[in-house]
Amino acid sequence: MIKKGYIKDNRSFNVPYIPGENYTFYINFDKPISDPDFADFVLQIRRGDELVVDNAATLQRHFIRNISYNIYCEFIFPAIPEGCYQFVIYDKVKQIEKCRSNSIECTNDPFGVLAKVEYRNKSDLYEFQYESNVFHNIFSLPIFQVDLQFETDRKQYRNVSDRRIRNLRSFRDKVITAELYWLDDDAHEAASAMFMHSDIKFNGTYYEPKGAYEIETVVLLNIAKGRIELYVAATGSTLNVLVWSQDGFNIVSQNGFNMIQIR
Amino acid sequence: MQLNKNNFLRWEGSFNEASFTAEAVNDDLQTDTKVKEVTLQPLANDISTYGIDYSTFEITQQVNTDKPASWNPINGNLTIFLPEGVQPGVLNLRYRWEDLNQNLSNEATIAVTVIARATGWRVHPPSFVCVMEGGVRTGYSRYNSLQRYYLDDSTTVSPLETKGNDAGDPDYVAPVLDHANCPVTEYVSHNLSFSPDGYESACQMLFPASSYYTSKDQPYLTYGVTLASNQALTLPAADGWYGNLAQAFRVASGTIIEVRQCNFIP
Repeated sequence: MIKKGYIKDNRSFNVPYIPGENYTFYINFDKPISDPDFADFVLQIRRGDELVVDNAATLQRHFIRNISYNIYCEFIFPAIPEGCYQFVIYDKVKQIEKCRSNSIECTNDPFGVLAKVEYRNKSDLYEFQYESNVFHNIFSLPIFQVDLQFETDRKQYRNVSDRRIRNLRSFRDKVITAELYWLDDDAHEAASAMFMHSDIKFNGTYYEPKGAYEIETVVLLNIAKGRIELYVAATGSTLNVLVWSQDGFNIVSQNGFNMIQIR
Repeated sequence: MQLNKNNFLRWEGSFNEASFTAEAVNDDLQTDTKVKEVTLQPLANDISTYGIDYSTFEITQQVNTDKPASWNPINGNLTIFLPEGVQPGVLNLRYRWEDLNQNLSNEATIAVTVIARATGWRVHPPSFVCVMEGGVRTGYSRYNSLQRYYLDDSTTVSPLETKGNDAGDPDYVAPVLDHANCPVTEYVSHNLSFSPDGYESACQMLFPASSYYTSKDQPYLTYGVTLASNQALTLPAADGWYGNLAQAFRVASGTIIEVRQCNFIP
């Protein structure tokens, strides 16, 4: 891999966690593992070699093929002092560390910069085996809406008899521009992968990517903003409802932003 | 070692692997030069702890590059197409696979032994002849030569191979009695009348040509004698015969006989 030049600030992105919040993670191993000692594994939170939480959550196996599996976890982040830590999967019998995550940051989010992110896909994606389970990735990410626009697609005609404009078809989308703050390359890769998922929810609202995920690189920094345009989609899988009005049938999304009018 | 990517939580470390076997076992099969393709299930005897992922079957060495072997991941059948004009010998195909845990197997060899088709010798029809003795048919037929043929489908080997059908040859085919195709030359073997008065009168036709005959093996009456053309036959005075003379005339040697009774005046 080509080395990055001009880096003066080598900070990396720490995955933020808020104590008391529920989270999940799924280790999408490049190749599912078959370690027979899974029953002895515990999830620890460590600061370097210092053990902070010994049994932070129950690890679970998602069997992929025969006895090979991925590991996932649903947990409430424990109340520990703010700071940087790492998740560690530890074999408590053999007393060896099996693997360690990148840096995570315990924060109480005093400025409210974090949004709760849930995403999954309808089919297997990036080694996430979604088809055979109902797992949702749940994280907190520093993401903000920085712009709002409306896109409309309308076909009209003027009625000869009363000279009024009539809509043959009218469709409106709410499009936001969202920015993710100070992600390193690996985190940008994860964000890019996240926006490839079919079901993405920020703070309970579904969004659908409109365009590509873009990185606003600053050559002196190891971290950068990420930017993407998102459609604000209807909540849940029932995207639209059918409404009768005096102008005909209207297919209106549940959030009221999209409309198809059929006369 | 980095364990994953495309994830906000990235993990590094290593895990143990459960012990497993992913062994592709060699196969041997035999066919002959007539066969164009052979089908087998190469994975049937292979060994896998996790089970074989049939979709990962990979041929690393083909037998026939012009027409590569065909793999059916549904039923596990592998069809190997033999090269055009294949000669006796051994052809090797090599393959491997991944198990359901993505463990790669060793490479196994399928040895296809091609053998020559079994052949034998049989009579060569164009060499059919009737067995003759003294210029006349004996009732037997034989073949002067033999041809090589395939035992599996009785077709003649091409190009034609022949050899003499000689007594003493292990493939010798002896003559057979064959009245249908080689009737014996007619013999005089009928009751000749005679005149006790003993002087010759005008001969009269007793039997038309080819009316009566039999073989040496099945004499019609007492006598079965081969006559040469225009040979006079004197029947001995035996078996109630009285030494009367009959004359028989062979009109065409060995084939048609006229028998006349001639009365003699003693």
